[in-house]
Amino acid sequence: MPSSYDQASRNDLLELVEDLTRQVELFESQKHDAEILLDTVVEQSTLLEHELQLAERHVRELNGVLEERVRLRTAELEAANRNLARESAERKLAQEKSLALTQQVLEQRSLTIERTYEAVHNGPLQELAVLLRTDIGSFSEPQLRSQLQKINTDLRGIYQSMRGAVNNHAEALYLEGGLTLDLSLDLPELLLQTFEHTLERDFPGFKAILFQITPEFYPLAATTLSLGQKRGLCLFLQEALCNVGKHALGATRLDVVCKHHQGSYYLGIIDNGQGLSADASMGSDQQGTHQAERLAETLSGCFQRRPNLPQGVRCELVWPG
Amino acid sequence: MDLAKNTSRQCFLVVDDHEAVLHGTVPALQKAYPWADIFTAKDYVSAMETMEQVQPELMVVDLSIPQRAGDIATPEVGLRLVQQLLTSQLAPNIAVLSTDINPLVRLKSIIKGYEGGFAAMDKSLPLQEMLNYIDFAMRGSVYLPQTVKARPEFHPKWLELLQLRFHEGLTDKAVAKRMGTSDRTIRNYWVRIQDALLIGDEPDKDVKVQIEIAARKIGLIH
Repeated sequence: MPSSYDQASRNDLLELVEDLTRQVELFESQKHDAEILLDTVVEQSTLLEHELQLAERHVRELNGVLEERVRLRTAELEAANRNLARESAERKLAQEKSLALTQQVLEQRSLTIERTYEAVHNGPLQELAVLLRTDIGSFSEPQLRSQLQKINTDLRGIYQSMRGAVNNHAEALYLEGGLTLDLSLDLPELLLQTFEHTLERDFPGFKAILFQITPEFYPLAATTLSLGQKRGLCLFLQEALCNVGKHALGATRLDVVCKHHQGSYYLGIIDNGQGLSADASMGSDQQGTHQAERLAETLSGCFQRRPNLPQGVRCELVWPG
Repeated sequence: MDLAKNTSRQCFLVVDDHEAVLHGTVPALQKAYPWADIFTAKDYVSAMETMEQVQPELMVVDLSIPQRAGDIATPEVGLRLVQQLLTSQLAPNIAVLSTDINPLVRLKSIIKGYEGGFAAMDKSLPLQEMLNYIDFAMRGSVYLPQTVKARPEFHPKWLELLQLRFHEGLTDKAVAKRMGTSDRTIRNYWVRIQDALLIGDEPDKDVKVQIEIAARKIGLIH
């Protein structure tokens, strides 16, 4: 069966060739497709690579921008921080200043109240005290009117002088009746003016005084006192003289003695009137005593009011110097 | 009690920088005190020099004078001159003329205890009145025009004199010694006490006894 075999195998072969041919064709087409695909892939990859490069560049750029932004922002924050610190320091300073100012205003205020009260106490209140101690009925209407007018003028004077003191800051002492003393003057001169001015007041205790002794204040010329202490001494003298004027009824003699002896200063106001009564030493006159004691304290000295022999009152201040 | 007449020859020194004032004051003074030699000075420096030379009994001082010839005249210079005089050994009687005598009132206590007589007056006073006050100073009194006082004022030194005389019975000489001052000062203190007590000179009365009576009456001495 070779022929048949041959025949058969030839057919098979043909078939095989055909098959192979088809396969080759298929391969060819597939190859073509693959080549096209490859081209596309290459093309795409090139494109991608390009895009990647672009993207990388973009990222780098963005990075740079970002870094720049961070740098700027950091600088901004640092500046803001510095500003904040400065502002906070300034605010603290302002706060301290305002606190100090408040303190000053408060001190000034209490000083003003004190000064005002001193002026009221050593001025119109003394006049009122005299009026109240006297039988009002014994005054004629014109007398009463003139007394009241005096008090009225004094009170207005205090207001004027307080306003003056606020305006020019001058250290001044206001005495009733419109006399303003410049505390930068020498102490003896200030005391002499206070003395002369006060003795001119219309007080019952002054009426019977037959003579007065020229006060010698110059032993105090060498003192180095603050303006406040000078003010205090003038007020002390004024107050003591007012007390003589109000209480020392029947006094015929008034001595103001001033000495510098063995390292201490002495200022005494001595009368020979009716002397210390319960009424004179209590109640109505706490302010005067309080003033004198406070003055003695600032001078590291002492104040006392005691009976004078054979009669009258000694009002004395002693301080070291 | 005109002490001036007892002395043979006296020197006066008038200090004023105005020629016209000198021409008015000097002849008037000369007429009132014919026995006096009157010198003049126009500034502080020459006033001090002349004072040393002639040792005047009386100095008439205008407060407004220059320090030296040619300087500007100010009251401070005259005030300085007066303060010099008040502490000088010479202790002349002083008459001060000024438009403002307030600075002198401050020296009141020193003036009242001053050895010599003292009078301060307004420059614009008529000549005759001025001469009256100068006479006041010449007799050892103190005259300081002030607002009128309701009561007399005594210097502590005068009281000391009264004490020593009427409590301890000392003579004037002894009092002067005790008080460390001159006879003339004591004499002048008596005059001032007399003035303050408003005791006039009466031929039949002893001034010191009158002073004692008046002083006891008002409680100056007990």
